[in-house]
Amino acid sequence: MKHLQLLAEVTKNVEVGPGIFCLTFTSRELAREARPGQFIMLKVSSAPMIDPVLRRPFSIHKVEGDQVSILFKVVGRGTEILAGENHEVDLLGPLGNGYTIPAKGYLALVGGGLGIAPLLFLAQYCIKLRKDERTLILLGARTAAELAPIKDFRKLGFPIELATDDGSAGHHGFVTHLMTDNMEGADWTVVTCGPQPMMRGVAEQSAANGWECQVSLESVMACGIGACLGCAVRAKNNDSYLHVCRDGPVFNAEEVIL
Amino acid sequence: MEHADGGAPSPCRSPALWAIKHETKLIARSPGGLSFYHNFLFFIPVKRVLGQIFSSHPRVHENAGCASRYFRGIFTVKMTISLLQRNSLDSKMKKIDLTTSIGKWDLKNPVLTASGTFGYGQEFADYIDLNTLGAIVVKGISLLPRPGNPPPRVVETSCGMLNAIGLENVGIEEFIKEKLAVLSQYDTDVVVNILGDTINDYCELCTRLDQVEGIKAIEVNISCPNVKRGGVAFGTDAGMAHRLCSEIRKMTGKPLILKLSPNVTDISLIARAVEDGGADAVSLINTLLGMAIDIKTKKPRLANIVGGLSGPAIKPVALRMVWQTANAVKIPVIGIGGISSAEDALEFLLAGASAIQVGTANFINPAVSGEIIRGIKNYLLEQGLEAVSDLVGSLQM
Ligand SMILES: Cc1cc2nc3c(=O)[nH]c(=O)nc-3n(C[C@H](O)[C@H](O)[C@H](O)COP(=O)(O)OP(=O)(O)OC[C@H]3O[C@@H](n4cnc5c(N)ncnc54)[C@H](O)[C@@H]3O)c2cc1C
Ligand SMILES: Cc1cc2nc3c(=O)[nH]c(=O)nc-3n(C[C@H](O)[C@H](O)[C@H](O)COP(=O)(O)O)c2cc1C
Ligand code: FES
Repeated sequence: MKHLQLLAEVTKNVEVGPGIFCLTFTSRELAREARPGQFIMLKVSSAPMIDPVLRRPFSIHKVEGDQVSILFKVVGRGTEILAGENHEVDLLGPLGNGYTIPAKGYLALVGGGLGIAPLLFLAQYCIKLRKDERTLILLGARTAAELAPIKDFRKLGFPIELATDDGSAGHHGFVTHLMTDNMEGADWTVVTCGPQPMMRGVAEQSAANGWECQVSLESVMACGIGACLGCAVRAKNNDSYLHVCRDGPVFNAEEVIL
Repeated sequence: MEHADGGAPSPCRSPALWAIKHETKLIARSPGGLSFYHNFLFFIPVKRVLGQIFSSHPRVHENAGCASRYFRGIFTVKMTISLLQRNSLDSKMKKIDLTTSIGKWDLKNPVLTASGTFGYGQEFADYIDLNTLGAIVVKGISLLPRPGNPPPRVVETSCGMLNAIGLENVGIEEFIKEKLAVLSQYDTDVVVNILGDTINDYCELCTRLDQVEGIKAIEVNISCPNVKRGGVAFGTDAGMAHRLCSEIRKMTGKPLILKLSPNVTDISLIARAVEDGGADAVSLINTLLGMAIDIKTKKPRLANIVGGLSGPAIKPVALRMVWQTANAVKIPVIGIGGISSAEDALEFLLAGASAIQVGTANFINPAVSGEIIRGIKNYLLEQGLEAVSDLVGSLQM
């Protein structure tokens, strides 16, 4: 797989929920090369070394034709700039290792908060790769408004269950409860992305049931390409570190300490 | 031109230079590596690529619709000029001598990548032609592998970043076996950056590396704490730096570059001490010790509490130290610190650096070193100079 450095024309930037934006740009090559779970590093300031200097990592959220989207929440200076008017985005990608998707068998996509971002692209992929296999989507958020991006999930036709902390949509409670209620049998593959405590819960529940679980981790990143060694996470089996950008962002839950 | 770059100050105003500078960039940056002429056929990518070029200067956003027509007109004129002038410029460009030397080591150009910011080189192969670099300085290597510090290891600060990676590395043997083997496929010089806890460690590393072909020089990171001397960094004590340098000098005939810490009162004193100890060159600066606190959690932002500051924020300090040091020693000085453009690099060369290293800027633009090399060449041409060595230390007072 080739890593690209390119400038892509922004075609859309829509606020889909409170402070949540879906930014779409044109890149045929990225659309072709990217795999679900991979990310891109975006330069948010317009000039090369003007603040904020470092690029920001974002998961690939959606790919349609040559249109690639990211879904992001405004949390600081960089995402604030991204939420404004941008004619083009300067990006590196696709980066990291994505999900390993089984062609057969039961697959559950468990997302929480902005962690639903990479799961849409994954679900799109499942349509291509395993249309007739059972694929279940479980999504959680604090409140219904944060689940606005699920429109796109619905279009794909896989069964979807929702949970919100405040009960404003779907199940009143955590997304992990949805696992208990909706997943039976012993041959599930679980892929999850979301806040760390949620993923820990999903991983524990998966382990308890003997299901394989893939987690998508976040970490502060200076380079995103394996050069700075800044994105370390603790490995489970010995006293060493793994690197989110190079060894991940998707890991087998058994590999890392969550 | 006025319209295209928004009238922003451009370092290269003449149409001829414009052609060279921007055409090389176009090829380098064109999506998917299409040739420039392919892009010319597909106007949209060209426009996008042009946007990229101009985005390296303070940019004024064009008014979308009519701007594209404007762009096309301007662009065609530019192209005609550039094509006509290219041949004669090509031959002039070829004559420009970018070579520089450090001890008995001749480099094809003065642009190196800084240790710890370019991995083991291979990470950048998709973004930049590694063969074009003056040299690659690899991540600091110790005798045994080191796991590094707990996360968080990096934090962004104003115009820079703090890092406390903790010198994570694969160890000397694995480096030679795995990483060097890959790097040696390229026609680029490799410098190995080393670190240790004791003088003995450094001596062993130098002895080992001395036998390894394909290593052009050894850069010695002396910002590390000396465990035998209560953890005081080798590089903050002139006596200790001198001793370390004289000891490792006995172990290797390869060029020795001592990499100096800026966390000292007078860096030129340390530079003189290692010159005296037999160093072939000094490189500076390593990162400046710094700190950042999260006021919400009231905790330090780095798990290690303190870390090294790098990036554009440190450039003025680095430049001053390079100038001071270049005036104090006879051996070559390699300038490091916040270099992100050809203009930055030129400042260091003018201040007396024989070569420069690009660090943090690699994270932001992995192709930046190539742009710096081309930019230096353009500047020499514009100044009517034939060799980069004519520029080194030519600061006018
Ligand atoms: C692999 C990966 C994929 C991601 N995908 C998405 C996504 O699809 N949608 C989304 O909204 N967010 C995603 N994030 C988080 C996103 O990168 C941060 O929200 C963003 O960098 C914040 O930037 P800021 O300038 O607004 O915040 P600031 O707090 O001002 O940022 C300061 C620094 O901290 C870093 N930082 C802050 N929060 C995070 C974080 N959660 N993770 C990593 N670095 C952080 C920034 O990159 C920057 O270097 C992802 C992170 C990673 C590592
Ligand atoms: C993430 C990171 C890791 C680094 N690792 C090393 C190292 O292993 N050895 C070393 O001598 N310098 C190391 N440095 C220092 C750089 O080589 C350079 O001296 C410094 O960053 C200043 O240059 P800059 O501002 O261009 O980055 C590191 C810097 C960064 C940012
Ligand atoms: S972010 Fe630099 S190595 Fe992962």
